[in-house]
Amino acid sequence: MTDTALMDVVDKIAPERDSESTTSGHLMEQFMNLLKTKPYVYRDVAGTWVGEFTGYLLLLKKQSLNLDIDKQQREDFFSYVETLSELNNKIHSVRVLIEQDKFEAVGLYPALEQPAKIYWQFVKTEDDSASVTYGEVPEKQLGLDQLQVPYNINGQVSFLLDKPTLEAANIIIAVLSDRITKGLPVERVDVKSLADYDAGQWQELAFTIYVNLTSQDANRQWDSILDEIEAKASKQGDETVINSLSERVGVHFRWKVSNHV
Amino acid sequence: MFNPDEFIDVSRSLSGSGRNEAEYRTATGRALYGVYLIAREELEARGKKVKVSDPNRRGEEHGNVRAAFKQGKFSHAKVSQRFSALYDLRYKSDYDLEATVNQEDVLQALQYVDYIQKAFDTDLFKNPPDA
Repeated sequence: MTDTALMDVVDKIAPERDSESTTSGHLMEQFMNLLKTKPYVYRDVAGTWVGEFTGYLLLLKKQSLNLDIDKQQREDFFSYVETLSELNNKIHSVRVLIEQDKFEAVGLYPALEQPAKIYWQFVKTEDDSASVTYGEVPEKQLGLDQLQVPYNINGQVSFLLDKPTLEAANIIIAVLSDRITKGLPVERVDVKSLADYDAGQWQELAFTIYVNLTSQDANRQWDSILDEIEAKASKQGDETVINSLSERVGVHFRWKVSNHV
Repeated sequence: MFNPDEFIDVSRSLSGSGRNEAEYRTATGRALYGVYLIAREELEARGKKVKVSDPNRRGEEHGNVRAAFKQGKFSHAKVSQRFSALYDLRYKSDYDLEATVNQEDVLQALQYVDYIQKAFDTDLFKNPPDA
């Protein structure tokens, strides 16, 4: 993956951004054409790249939409994200055919940081009024600041945030926030994308909750939180959200184990 | 026939203090594979098809086992989430050379395994396959 190739995509998308005819399907076609010319793009590299790129596309979109108050624009936003998720799934399918190039692709990992910076620079240059920063879109959508504890979010989560998964995540954040307020000793929360390295069959938005508890208490709290999350989702009654909770979201607890074995 | 419990035994034997990182990484992977293989065999024995005959697609068995605990007759959210956490540790151990894998990671993985095995014994696979 060269910077030149990535900049080509940016160049193509820049005018599209301001065009009424811009569609996510059109962007997807551009992506697929690029991938065809780079058959060594392996699933992890491609997945990471798409995740990064999705984040920046969402940034561009966010600048022109007021997602907080306009229902139609919010729907458009989720439609956009869903299409990019489909693209990601297609890349996983492509990877089955090109698996033999794995080692070459792994060597491309370090090259991902630079294009990410290029994209970000592009966004900033294009619109200095941008009010969001890199990684902030999923952070704001998830409402992580409610937690009142340190957190870390990996920018690659953007492409996992279809509407049901985001709503499922919001339930998790709400439950966790309430527990923290009531005294659950959470030291920090990490949010990242977790994907199946073995066959690319599943991807999850994973919350890792670091608690200062013994193993027994941590497991008890973990189970209790899972029960509460499930109960809240059931009460809301949206099957797509319930499905996302079981299929696409990971809620992990970690605790200090050295002294408790 | 090999008993996958022995993988978990190996993991425990490598979980003490003073081991090197390669041993801790190996131990974390064996913990996951031990409990994963137990799950795969128990599910198959109860009629849940999770094995894949095509050797080029064996990796899909992991996804099939995970899927079995997410939806359907064997769905179990608490076990599914422990598996998810275990895979997270396993990927870190097997693929992430930038990260440091230490004794705490191994012990954490083994405590996830303990929980899963207990759920197998007392709930999911409490009754023998032919019962």
